Amino acid sequence: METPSSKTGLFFWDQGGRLGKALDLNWLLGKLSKTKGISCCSLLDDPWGPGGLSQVVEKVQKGELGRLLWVGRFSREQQGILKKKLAEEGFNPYLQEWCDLEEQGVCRDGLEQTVRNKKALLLIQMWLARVRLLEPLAPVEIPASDSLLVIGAGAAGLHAAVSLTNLGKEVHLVERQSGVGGKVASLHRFYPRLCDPRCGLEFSIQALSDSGRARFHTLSRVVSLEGGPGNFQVRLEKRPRFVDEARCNACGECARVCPVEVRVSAGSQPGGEPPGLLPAATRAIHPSLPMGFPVAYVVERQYCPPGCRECERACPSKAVELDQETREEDLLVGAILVTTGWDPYPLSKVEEFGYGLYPNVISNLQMEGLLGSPTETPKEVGFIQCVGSRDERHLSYCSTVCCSVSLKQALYLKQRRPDANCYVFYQDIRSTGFQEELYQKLKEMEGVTFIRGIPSTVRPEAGTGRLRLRVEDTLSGREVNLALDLLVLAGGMVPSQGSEELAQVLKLPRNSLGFFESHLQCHPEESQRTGIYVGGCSREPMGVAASIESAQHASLEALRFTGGTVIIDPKYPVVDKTKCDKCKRCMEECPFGSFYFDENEFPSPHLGRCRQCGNCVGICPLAAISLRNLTIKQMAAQIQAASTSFMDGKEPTVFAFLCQNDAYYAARDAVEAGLPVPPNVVFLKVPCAGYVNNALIADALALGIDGVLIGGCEDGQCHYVKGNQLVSKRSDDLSDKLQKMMMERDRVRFVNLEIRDSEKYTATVEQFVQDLRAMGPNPFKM
Amino acid sequence: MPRSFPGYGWHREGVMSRVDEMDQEMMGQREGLPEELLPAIRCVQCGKCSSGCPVAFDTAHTPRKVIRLLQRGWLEEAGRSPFLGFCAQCQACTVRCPRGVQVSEVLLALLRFARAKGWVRPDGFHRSFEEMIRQRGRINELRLGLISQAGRLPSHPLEDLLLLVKMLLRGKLP
Repeated sequence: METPSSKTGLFFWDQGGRLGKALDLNWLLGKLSKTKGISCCSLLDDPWGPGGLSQVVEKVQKGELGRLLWVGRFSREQQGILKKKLAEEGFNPYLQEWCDLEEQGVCRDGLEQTVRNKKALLLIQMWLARVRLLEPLAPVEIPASDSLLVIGAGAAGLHAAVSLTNLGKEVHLVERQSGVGGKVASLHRFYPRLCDPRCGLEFSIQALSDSGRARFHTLSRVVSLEGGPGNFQVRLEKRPRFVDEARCNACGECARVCPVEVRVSAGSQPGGEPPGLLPAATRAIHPSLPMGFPVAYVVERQYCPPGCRECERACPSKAVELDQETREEDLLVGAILVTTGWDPYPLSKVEEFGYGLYPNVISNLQMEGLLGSPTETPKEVGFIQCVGSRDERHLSYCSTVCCSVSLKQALYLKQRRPDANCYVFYQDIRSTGFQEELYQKLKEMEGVTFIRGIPSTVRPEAGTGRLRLRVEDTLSGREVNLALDLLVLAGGMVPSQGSEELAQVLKLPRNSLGFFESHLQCHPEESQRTGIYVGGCSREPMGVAASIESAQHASLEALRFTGGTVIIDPKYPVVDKTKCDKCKRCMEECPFGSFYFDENEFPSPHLGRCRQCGNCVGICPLAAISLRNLTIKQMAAQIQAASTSFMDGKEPTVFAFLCQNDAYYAARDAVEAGLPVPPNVVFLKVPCAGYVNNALIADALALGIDGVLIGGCEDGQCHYVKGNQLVSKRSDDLSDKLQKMMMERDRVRFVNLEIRDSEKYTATVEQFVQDLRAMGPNPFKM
Repeated sequence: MPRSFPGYGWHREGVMSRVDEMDQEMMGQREGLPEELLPAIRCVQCGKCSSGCPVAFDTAHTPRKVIRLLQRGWLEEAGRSPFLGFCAQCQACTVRCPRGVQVSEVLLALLRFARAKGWVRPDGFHRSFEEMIRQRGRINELRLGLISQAGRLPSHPLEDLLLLVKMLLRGKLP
């Protein structure tokens, strides 16, 4: 786009006299109209009434104005109206700025008139300096594929895929195991309705097959990822099934002739007990597990006796192909959903309960299998809660479902064998929401005893094989001794086995517990890589219902990057290649991993991945990166214009960079609430505290500003992961340099401000101004 | 039922009769806790320590209860707990604790604290034992036995006499 003329229009809206009451507007207008480059400087009476903007529109139509500055308090909505109105006349909306004098405190009571006028003039001059450098911008469109990738075809992944195919999207489901269904397929019943989970899973599988828009990639894993949201290039590695999926109709002839029996490990616990309701053993050629979908059988080739091709000979539809090989497939998808789910915590690590040592100590997942199978039901059954969970030696967190799972299992046990006795050993029963009903029901049931106390260890009874345990009933303080036939350990959830590898391939950050990181409150499904969404237990332990909900929420978010085109706001960073020395700091520090090497090996931001926080701008040691609508040059010009002192010569001046998500609101509300914010401070909004480059701070100090304040979020609250920490670390570095320059290191301060911290903001500025008075003027002050 | 120990001063097991007194002042006095007893505040009262304790349930208190008293800031009641005299320092509680409260260490520290405050007084045997260690660095078993039994008649004179003969024959006495 060509550079528009530098003729600037300056329009005041005195807000029904509010500005005029506080300021000498005539003096201001007189001063400003003489400023170079101003072609029009006038007062708008009522911009919202009929014809209120006619003079602006007229001038724009005639092409007399290249850029605009609005002075006064314009709300976000009003700004939008102005943008829209002028855009209709062909005026680029990015060529105007708004200068709110009121929020900077010029209208505050108890200020000297001269200070008010001078500060207002200075602010307008600062904004004018910025307006002079504005560039016309337009949104960028990037192409977006209409298909999505769902990694993990468990309950969460399947349900999300159904929603997506219903919306007409094409979905690729990647599953590590031979069949879909995940952990839920191996459950006997699930709450709250206590029905068979296979029913819901079959329902979604049918919906997916009928839609014709879902492709299942079983026995597969993601091995590489290129590109960005809208067009991710994904490479899958597909292990051979040794059976042609198109031909096989699961008649089972092959399994009848197969000479080898194989123990089922269901992929999750190699060599361990089969989790849940899956068969304990199968033939080497067997139906897909955990659910028989895809319909085709699968051969565990590593167990085949050398030279045996019995199944191939037996197959009536010639579907067995024992010479298949691993192959790769490339996919192009718009967005990625990660629903890799969970694995049970290895209970053998909790040594005191003898899991794996005594046959009648089982996990809660194995209990699902026992309840679903026709074996005899034991009479005396103990359930120990929080095994390995909420325990600093094992898992520090609560897996949220185990309490309700044990309640459910006790209920089914009592139904199968009414004379059974259940003992639940617990610390706290966390049956949240409607599960409380289940808890109360069981509490009143005869033969179900809740004992608040956890046994320390378990010993087998000599001869009988029963389990003896002793526990303190902490509510009564009495000792309880029991002999049990079966002990069920309610173990917790850990992220599934493949999630570590997947995290490496997708470059997806995980938290210290191994779950995929997200901003848990505001954007729970958004991972730290744009276009990749995390749902279900891969993000946080949760029940089946919650994980389906979470995956569907994730798919809703993911839709943004499908459907032909994605529109990118022109606020993305650009790297000045004449300055860049390829140090790669921006690549390292970008919280969303959005930088890649372009054809000349310069770091370049991927527009789709970028979330426009500006942390790269702040980190660049050469100040070579700019956000397109907030360039480093514009900022520097604004700072330069501020150097003229507006206060009495002896008073210190403070420049504040405030994060526009939190700290800015604190400052604005401080003025609005009439708090005594010292007039010495002038603030600038930045997209994130991490945007503030040390060069800008040095500029401000070199021009005679006495102190620089940076306001960022509280630790752990930054919407851009850790912008506040980065800038506070950098301002520490800068402070060291200042000390070497014989300047007080305290002239640069960092403060954590939450959105309602107006009082803290006021106190901080007051203290800062006081300290600066004590320090004396900046030695660079002219 | 737990045995009561009249010799160990007061404790009111399960008494909830003081309806007219407010307990706010007795709550949450963590500042008053000596540093070595502070780990007690991490306890979630799961009872795993008592469940595995080889000597709990033979006394009025269990390790969990002593920790609970500490959490509530009832330092003296905790310090006078009869359980402290029973604790064998076997570490079973420390090993099993899911919150990492070093239970047996806390109990030992509490015992020391109670001794310094004078809530627990060693009996004749313990006093002589300590005195001997302090003076010579080792125990003279014969002397210790005689001192601790001084002023008391032997409860089984004949058996003891026989034992004495046996010990002399085996060279166990100097």
